[in-house]
Parts: sequence; structure tokens; C-alpha cells
Amino acid sequence: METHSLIHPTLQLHLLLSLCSKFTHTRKKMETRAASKRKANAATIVIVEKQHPKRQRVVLGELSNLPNIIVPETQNPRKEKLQCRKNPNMKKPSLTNNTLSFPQIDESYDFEIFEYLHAMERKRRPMIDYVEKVQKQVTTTMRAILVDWLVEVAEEYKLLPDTLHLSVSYIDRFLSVSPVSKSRLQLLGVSSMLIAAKYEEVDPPRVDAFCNITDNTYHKAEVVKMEADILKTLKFEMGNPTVNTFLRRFADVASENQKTPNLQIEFLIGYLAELSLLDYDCLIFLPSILAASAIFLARFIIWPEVHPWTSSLSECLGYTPADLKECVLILHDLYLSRKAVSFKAVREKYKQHKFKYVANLPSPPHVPSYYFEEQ
Amino acid sequence: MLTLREKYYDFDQISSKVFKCRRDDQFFTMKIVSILNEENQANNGVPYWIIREISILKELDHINIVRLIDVMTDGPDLFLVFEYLDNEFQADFLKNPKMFMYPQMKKEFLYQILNTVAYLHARKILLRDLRPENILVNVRTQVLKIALFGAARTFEAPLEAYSSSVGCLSYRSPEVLFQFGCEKYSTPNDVWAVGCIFGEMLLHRPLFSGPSDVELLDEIFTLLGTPTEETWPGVTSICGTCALMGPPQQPKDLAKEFPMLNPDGLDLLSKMLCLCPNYRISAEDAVKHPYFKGV
Repeated sequence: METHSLIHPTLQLHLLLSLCSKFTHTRKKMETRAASKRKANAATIVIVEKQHPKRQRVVLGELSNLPNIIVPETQNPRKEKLQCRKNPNMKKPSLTNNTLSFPQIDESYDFEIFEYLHAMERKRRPMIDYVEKVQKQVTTTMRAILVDWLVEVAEEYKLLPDTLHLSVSYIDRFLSVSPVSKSRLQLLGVSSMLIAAKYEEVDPPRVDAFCNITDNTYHKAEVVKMEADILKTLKFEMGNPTVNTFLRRFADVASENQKTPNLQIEFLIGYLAELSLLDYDCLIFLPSILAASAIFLARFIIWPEVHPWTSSLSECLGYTPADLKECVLILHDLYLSRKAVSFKAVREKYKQHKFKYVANLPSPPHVPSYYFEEQ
Repeated sequence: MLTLREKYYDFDQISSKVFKCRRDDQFFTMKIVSILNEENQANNGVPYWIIREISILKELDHINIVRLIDVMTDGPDLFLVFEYLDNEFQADFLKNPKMFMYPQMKKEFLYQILNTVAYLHARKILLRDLRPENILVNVRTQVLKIALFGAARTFEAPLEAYSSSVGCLSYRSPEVLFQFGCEKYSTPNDVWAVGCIFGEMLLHRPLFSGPSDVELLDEIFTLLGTPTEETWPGVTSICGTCALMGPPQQPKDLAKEFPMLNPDGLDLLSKMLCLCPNYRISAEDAVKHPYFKGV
């Protein structure tokens, strides 16, 4: 795992964990109602955990207490990776008839829309190194804590995956241009989710709901004011494509030539996409690359003996396995908890029956390198 | 950051919420949108429809769309700064008497409308409320502009607003009038509206003008015939024998109804007014229709 720290990675983890346990007995302001219910139902387990201390998730209320332990590594500036290649032979993407699809789309516009989305994903993307270049207090760990918590919020209020993805996108775009203090990072998170919900949901939660979910750490007026600041800073350009935008268009292609039910691979792809939200390193990849990589890796996890990529996937998505290698390997590390190990919300979410327990699916420890070679 | 008054000046009121203003040597139209309206007394922040509308407008750059230049906030109000259209641009373009002097002009304007609709559809945007009142024309330069604010939405926006209440009644498609279910509201509905506008350009009166859903459908079926399983697969399973279908009617001969149209024009009109949304021509294909040869 690449770390932007001058502290030894193991020591850094211990430092984080000691910080977590230090605040175990403090009032956990940022818990969702669902988390509280789970805690009530599992009181005995909590006692056992106190006897045998395990890694605990940093609750969001403790964000402002985290020291700036992650220092930018100036010698090795992050490079933007894998720009989408313009593929003149790209076929019209196949529209799906499954749960991810939107029946309002006229298929005659598939190709034009796809081209447009590719243009937009470049135009409205965050800086890939804003933590190092723009932020004074916010660290990659804090960002991950915030995203992990927002996954719980989205689950609590039954928000669409698009809403979650858009929220994180707004957060990253805002942090790319505007420094935010630790104490206001969660405010940025809830206000971003408020905007995303208004943009995406049929019945978005009201401002009160977003205040409640922070245990009224912020007043209604603060959330509304931050909402206005975000809209102004992002120039009201709220319609940027996310990983989910591309996944929705390719869900059918993902399970082609296979007899496994569509839902399992669909949920696994969704899981990988949400894991990518946790990892600041994933900002170097365009959403379309993350989507293609999630499809590649999901196919590998479910059918490890079969080459995960096909010519039709290449034509539809416009990427070759070689284009996806770096991104796939990062997603694989996330899947196997070799990265972002202390962030549990996404993993717990996809261990549920309603998501076909895809977070429990076994995966080979390595993706064979020959899967990335030109076919 | 400059305040509203520092950035724009020479305000000249056009209507209660619309002003003409200036910045440097350029004129702009400024529209005031109040965030704290009656339905938002509880202060739920910026209303969802404003976020969606402005996001859409910010993505568009097309000669036939009134362009949003800037968005500014001041207290509970949003100030939307649009490109300024001089007095030569007349709103409600079909009421302009000069519109009907030259047949070629009608063809030119229809082409511009379809071209704009195709541009929007390729960007995942539905118009939903396309009608003559939202279209401005400059007869001298033969440039047409569609004012989108308050009308458009993306395909992927929530489905709740895809109700039969969208759009002016006269330009609503049969599938919306049938209340086929919100998920059916799609790109063909906009093409239907353009077909109605085309008919209105030719007849100098609204093509369909029934005061209610039932009467409007009756007018549509009187001209185009009652749909059957052959002409509109699935129509009977969705509507069954509902009162909206009315007694079976045969389609009229469009050549007799529109004697001013050549065969290409009749073909295009019939394809735009195809009852079945799945068989209706797309705006993208309509722009390439032989009727527009030479435009």
C-alpha cells in the first residue's frame, strides 16, 4: 500500500487504533439509527469485544481529534492514470433491462450519450492530489472515515447508489478548490449528500434528517448555508457522471456468456464500486475506468478460471485489459482488505442477504498477469 | 468574489421577476428565482427542481438554446443571468404573422427545433414541455431560440415528475395522456410535441386542442385512427377497454388534411405523429429526413 506518510505504516496503524480506542467511551455522535439498533441487538457481543479489543472503526465525531499524521510525499507526485482512449470502432453500448437500467433512454442515442459522458467525466473531475495541494487539515484517512460513514447514512435512509456516488464526487470536487477544517468536514459530507439526494431521489430526506443523523452537531441553518456554498463553488454543475453512471449502462454486458444469475455479479460490481469510493488513490482513475475495472474484477472473482475480458467488453467499454491493470489491482487489494482495512460500513453492507453476501465471496489472492496481456 | 451589483448594472425591469442588465458592453437578461417560496417555508435549502434545472442549463451550449451565462445568489434569491435576446426575438413564435409568409422559413425553423431536440436527447435531457410559447424567433435572421428554464430534466432524474401533468395539454403525447406509467415518459414524447408544432405551423391553429385528456385523445384518434395491437403493440393490455380509447376510428388521409405538404413532408409528419412511441421517429433521424434536403 502506498502511503503518503513519514511514519512507518505499522506504527501509523497503531497510532490510529490507539486513537480509536481512546474515544471508545465518548459519546458517538455520528452513529446512524441503524447502527444504534445493531448495537442494541448485539450488546453481548460488545462486551466480548471489550474483553478482547479489536480494531474499531473511528466514528466520525472523532474526526476533529485526529492529528495530521499523513504527510504529503513531495518526491513522488501523483500522476493521472489511464485516460480513456478514443476508440473509433467502439460499438454502441448495450442498454440493460435489469435493476440498474433506466427505461426512459431511447436506444438510438446510446452512442452519443456515451461519448457525452466520456467528455463530461473529464470536464468535471476532482484534482487528483487535493489533499497534498489544497487541504491543510483534511487527510486521506479523514476522507475515508467520512465516506465510510456516508455509506451508512445512505443505507439508513435507503438512498440510491447514484446518490452516494454523487455525494462523494461533490465532496472531492469541493475539496479540490476549497480548504475545509476538520470540524466542518462532516458538514460538507451531509450537505453534499443533501444536494445529491435532491438531484437523484424521488423523495429526498429533508434538511432536518441530515441534522438528526449528525446528532444535531450542526444546525439546520449551517447545513443550508453549506449547501449554498457547495452549489456556488461547483457553479451549480451537479450532473457529473460517476462510476455508477457507467455501470448502469454496462450491467448486461458484465455477465455475458455466463449462466450465473445477473444479480450476483451486479451486486459484486456495485460493491467494488463502493469500495473504490473509500480510497483516495482511486481519484487518479476516470469513473469509466473504475467501472470497467469493477466489471473485470467481478468477473474474475466469480469465474477465476475464465479470462475476465472479452472482445465485446473491449468494444463496448473502450478499454483493453492492459488499460485496466493498475485500477484492477487496487480494487483487488480493497476487496481482500489489503487496503482500507479499518473501514467496515461498505463491507458490512454487502455481507447482507439482500446483496447476496457478495462481500463474503472468496477470491484468489492474485490476478494472473496474463489476464492483462493483449489477447 | 464580486457582488451582484458590482458585476451587473443598468438594471431595467422587463417584468416582475425579469430584468435587462449590463456588464461591460454586453446586455443580459436576469431572472430572479426565489428560494424561499410558499412550498419551502420550512427552509429546506435550495429546491430540488432549481438544482436540477440549473445543472442541466449549465451543460448546454447550442445556438438554438437560450444560454445560461451566470448564477448568483443574494439572500433568499437566485439570479439567473441569460444571454440577452433583442426585441427582434418574438416569444410564442407561431403568433408572429410573418412566420407564415414563406414555406421555406417554416422548414428552416422546424429543422432548428429538431436539431435542438436531438442535441438535448444526446445529452440525456428531455424537454417535456416543448410548446410555441417557449420558442422565440428572429424572423429577420431566421434564428430560433428555445427557452428551457422550467421545462427540461435529465433522463435519469427521479421518476416522480414523469407524470401526465407535464407539458401543455395540446402537445402531450398519447402515451402520456394514457398515463402509461411514469417510466414511459421518454424521448419520443418530445418528438410528438414537435410534430404537433409542425402541424400548427402548417394549419395556423393548434393541431389538437381538446380541453381534457379524453377529448384530446379523441381528437388525436380522429386524425390518426384508434391504435390497435398492430399499430401499437401492448396498447390493449395497458388500456384494455378503457373509456380513453373511445369507439374505433380509421386514420384520415394526411395528404388531404395537409395539402400544402409534399410527400417528404407528409412522410416526416406521419412518422413524428406515430401513435406508438417505440415506432416514432427519433429527433436524430428526423433531422436527416429527405424533407430537409437543401436546408
